[in-house]
Amino acid sequence: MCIRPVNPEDYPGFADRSVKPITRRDLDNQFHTTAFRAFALDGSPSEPPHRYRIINLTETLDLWTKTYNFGRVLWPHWTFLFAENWREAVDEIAARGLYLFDIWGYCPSGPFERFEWSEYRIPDETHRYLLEKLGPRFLGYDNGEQDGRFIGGYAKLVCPAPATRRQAHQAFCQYFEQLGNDLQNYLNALSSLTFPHYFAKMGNHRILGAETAQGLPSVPMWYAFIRGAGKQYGLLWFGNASVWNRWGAKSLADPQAEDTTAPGFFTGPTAGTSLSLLHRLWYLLVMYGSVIMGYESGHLASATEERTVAGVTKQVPALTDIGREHLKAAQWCAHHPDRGELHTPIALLWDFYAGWAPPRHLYTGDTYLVWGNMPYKNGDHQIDLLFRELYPDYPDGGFFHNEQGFLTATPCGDSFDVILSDAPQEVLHRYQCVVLLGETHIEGELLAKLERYLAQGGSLVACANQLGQGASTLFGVQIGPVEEAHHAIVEGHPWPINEPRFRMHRLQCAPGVRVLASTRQGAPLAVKRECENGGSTLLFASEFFLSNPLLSLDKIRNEIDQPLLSPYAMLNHVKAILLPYLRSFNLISVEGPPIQFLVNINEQTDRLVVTLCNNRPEPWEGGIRPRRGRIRHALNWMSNEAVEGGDSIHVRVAPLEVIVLELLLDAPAFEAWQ
Amino acid sequence: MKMTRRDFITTTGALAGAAMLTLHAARADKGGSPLSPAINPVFLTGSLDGWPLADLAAIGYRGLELTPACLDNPAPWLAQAEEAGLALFAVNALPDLRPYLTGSLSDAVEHRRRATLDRLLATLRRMRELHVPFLVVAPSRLAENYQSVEEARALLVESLRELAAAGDATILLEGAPFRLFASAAEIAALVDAVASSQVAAALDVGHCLLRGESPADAAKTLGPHLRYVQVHDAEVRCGFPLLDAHLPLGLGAAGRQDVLAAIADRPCAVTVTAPDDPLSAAREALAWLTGQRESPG
Repeated sequence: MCIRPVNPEDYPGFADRSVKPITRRDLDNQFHTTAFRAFALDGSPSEPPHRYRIINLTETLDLWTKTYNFGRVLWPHWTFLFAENWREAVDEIAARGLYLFDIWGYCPSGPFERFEWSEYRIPDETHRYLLEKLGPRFLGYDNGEQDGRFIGGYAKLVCPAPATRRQAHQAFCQYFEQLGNDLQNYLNALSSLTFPHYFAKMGNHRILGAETAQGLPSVPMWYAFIRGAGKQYGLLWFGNASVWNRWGAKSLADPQAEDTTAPGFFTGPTAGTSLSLLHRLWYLLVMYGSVIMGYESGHLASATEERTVAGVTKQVPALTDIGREHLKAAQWCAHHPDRGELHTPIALLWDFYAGWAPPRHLYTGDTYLVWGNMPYKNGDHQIDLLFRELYPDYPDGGFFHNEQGFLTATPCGDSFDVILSDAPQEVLHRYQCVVLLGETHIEGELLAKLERYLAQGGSLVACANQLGQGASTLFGVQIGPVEEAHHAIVEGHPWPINEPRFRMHRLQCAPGVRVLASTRQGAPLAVKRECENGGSTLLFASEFFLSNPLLSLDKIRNEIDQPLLSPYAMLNHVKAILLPYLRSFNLISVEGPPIQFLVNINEQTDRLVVTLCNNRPEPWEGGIRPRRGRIRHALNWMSNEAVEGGDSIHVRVAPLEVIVLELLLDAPAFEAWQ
Repeated sequence: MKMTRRDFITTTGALAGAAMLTLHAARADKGGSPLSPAINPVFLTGSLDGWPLADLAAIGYRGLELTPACLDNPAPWLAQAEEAGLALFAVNALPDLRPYLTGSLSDAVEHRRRATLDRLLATLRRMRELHVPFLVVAPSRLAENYQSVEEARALLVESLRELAAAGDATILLEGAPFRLFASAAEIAALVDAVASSQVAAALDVGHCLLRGESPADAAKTLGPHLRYVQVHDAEVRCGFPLLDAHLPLGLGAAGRQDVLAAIADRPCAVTVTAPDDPLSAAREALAWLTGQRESPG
């Protein structure tokens, strides 16, 4: 099992890259936190003649990094770079050994003179100075939620709309070429949709991350993309949780204040993202392997209090609950530095040009589009419907007042990364299993890569309609004509399973191929082949796991607080076979109601770090059982309390709460390799 | 049940057969006046590279609509087009007018608007050399975050005046979906505001449909301003996203009589996209326009 963390300098071509990814060494091999978002200025920059200065520089930095140790990473608004004394600020940041991260506020076509959401160009002189003074501690400029901005504001203006996904990708790249050129092609990606691979591929992004919560996508699904892109292209990733949601923002400046409403804007102590969600997101994003973590804003109150730092007592803004949560969580991270790597044994792989996005999201009222301007094809529905199994309710993220969907249960574990078809061979070998999805065909270079992958012990899942020339031998079948079926007989089940009508390919199996499901007439629907080197292949005869269309798009409503229906169904016999197969790659089994769970590992093979995140409003109780070995010692990292071991442990997780457990086993749970 | 594009092409390909459709097909509704459309091969496939232009002439097209990029290096296609008898009807600059991505005539960021104008002015110089009569342009979206519609209008008018003053070609403004000033009435008002004999209007059938206008009604609204018509289809169905997909004719909401009424005696161009089977799509478009086949329903 691969336990190697992403180290960008280990990736081919790193030395030759003009814009290098941020490395762990750049970060002093430490996990970092961030909170500071803007310097104080002596006036409004938008007032002519647009001359202004940064004020209270040292006091401000003291407040955010000493009085309150929110972390060494500063995440400021861009305006400070155009202040008269901007060099002074950079010098001070350098002198304090702080990091400058993700300088934000860029907006295409926003007038520069407004100094708000503006289009600006970083002068060469400024960029040179930042690099000279800060060196590796200058992390980059913000590509902030621009993927969503492209989809929502620009993709549909492409005339003619792309007829191919390559054309769509080209238009996407045109947008980011402009942005990159304005920002010295030295970018940090704060994603708002599922395009981190394309950012990473551009070669001018240094780290990947996302603005979670907000009205933005479901996090377990989303970070499968971000981790996968990071591993595929050799970039680290960060986490961030926003205080905003679709309807407004949390403000704790005055915790006694009433929430206030303005048209389309709801703000106050109980508006925006809930504290519970912010809390859970921190721990999850950290356990996902984020190297920097922060909350968007809201750390300090309007009220002041007396604080003594380094023998000096002064009046400073009081902490809010967000600020307190940040400090507590950062301390937890410091106390538990050996969190290991998230165990993601399964890669979901599809075509590079797919441009897949969730069926609905914040940036458009349209549904079921890729690249923002092309309708889903059946392969895209396959991705959507499999995600609905892996992350139930994931399309609801950002659409429900009760925050449903931002975090979901993970019935097969939070065990998946998304990689694209251009992934090099060595990236495939990180995974024990590859599930081929979408409008992707196993042929040519991809076929060759998958052949080598299987030869080295990997496992592969696909559908018959995804096999190109020469691919059927991987699965030990010959592909025949298409026909329709409406039921399935699954091995070990006494009765046929009724299905909606679906298209399937006739499969002729070679000796040794096991039929896991068939029609009553004996036509195989799912076949498994054990490979010589320990892996297996699993092939489904149905096209994309899908039924025939069940619902016309005009019958599907995209509404707040309502789930989004799919025009298709994922076939029951596929669920019956595929989902247990995917679960078999997990290191633990979770007994009890569905819950979000993830496992982190390191080179200590008898140690598992299990995160359980209860995203439901009722308590969760259940058991955690390692697949191999017995638990000889368990420790709850949230309470520092030991838990009684055995074959399994019984755990209770409070409503809307997250816990992390360290399990020490009496035998190795896995075999590690770097 | 809606046909797939493959079904459509298979069915109608048989209808068209090997028989070349006549360029001057009689049009019953117009008493036999000729219909000689151009076609935009770049829209068909995404590129002019390697296009067998003679095949388009053989189908019955007598003209080309191209994009500005084609004029950067005419050597590969110009001789072929001349040999095939394909005249240059117009340059369609919409691929160069994707706000922020490639350009905008009303961008609030002046250097971007300037770059767009400079690019189009260079295109106009090349058009003069090649005697291309029309340059088709479109309004933009509202610039983020602070631009008013009035400011966008003023910048657009200023840009159009600059382009009009630059050359012999007529600048044709057309409405485009999801952008400002999309309706025929707004386009007509803008042309009036520019008040230049070098600025008139084009009408894009698919764009009209996407904004809920009948092409024939839009043509009436544009009146004498209208000089050129582009023809493609658009799907306008409840529950389906509106996309400027430049569908092959017959696959969307376009009605033949409505389209022919919009064209009347004006020059027109087929601007469909069909990279999988462009020649069939080109053949079918002409068949649809000349009434040799009806919509697949």
